Amino acid sequence: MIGIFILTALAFVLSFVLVVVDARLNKVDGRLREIESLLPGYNCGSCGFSWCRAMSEEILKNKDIYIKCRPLRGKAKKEMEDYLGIEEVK
Amino acid sequence: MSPISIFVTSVLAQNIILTKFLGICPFIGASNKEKNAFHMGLSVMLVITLSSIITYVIYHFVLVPTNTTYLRTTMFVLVIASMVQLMELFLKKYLPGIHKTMGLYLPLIATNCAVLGVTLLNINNDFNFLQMLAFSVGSSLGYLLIIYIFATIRERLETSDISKSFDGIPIALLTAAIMSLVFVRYL
Repeated sequence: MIGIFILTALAFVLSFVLVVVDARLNKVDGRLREIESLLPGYNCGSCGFSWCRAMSEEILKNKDIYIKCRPLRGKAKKEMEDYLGIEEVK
Repeated sequence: MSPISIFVTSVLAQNIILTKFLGICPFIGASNKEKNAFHMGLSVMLVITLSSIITYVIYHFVLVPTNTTYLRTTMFVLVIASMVQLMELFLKKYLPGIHKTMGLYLPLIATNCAVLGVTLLNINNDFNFLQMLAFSVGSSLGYLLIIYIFATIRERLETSDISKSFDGIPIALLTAAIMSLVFVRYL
């Protein structure tokens, strides 16, 4: 019984440390989360990056690169363009 | 045994890779380039030393008084995993280049059995604090030394003429076997 308490307490302490350190060190840009939620999230890799988060980091640096995402089309693509402020080329 | 003799034995004669066969996965996987191997060895060294100290303190001041020593494996795995995560956070912030090149092998240190092996051996051998420190620093230094030597040999092997069926991992495994023979003084 006491083993359960000790294990739980240690897990709490360790996770608390990790959360605090993470919050202190890596301040995530709020836009990164938004861009990632606008991407399809298949982690397909057809854009050339290993997963959607790597792609959204690249979009933050250079927004034109969003066009490389192949599953992004139709309404989702329109939303992404609205978010990035890009006019569709006719 | 004095801490100094423990240190020397754990670096050379009882090397953790070549005589105890712990931590083979990153030994083969992360040793294709000299630089990668060096970074890998340094990170393993940091994780082993930190988690040995923490697990030693937890074992002797929490688990022994409450008579729950049967929990040690679970506890130690927990501590090691969080140490690795912590190190990953620091590397990501301060050395993003290394974080990128190490890639998947960095979080995989959590499953590197050399780390769990050293922390459990510290307990099983009934070391006091200084001996524990000597053993964990020595073992991890041995790890760094061997993975670095192995990587330099592998870089050399890449440019040499090897028959096609042996190229790559097979010749690396044979090299490891010969190194192991040297270290247990059969050659």
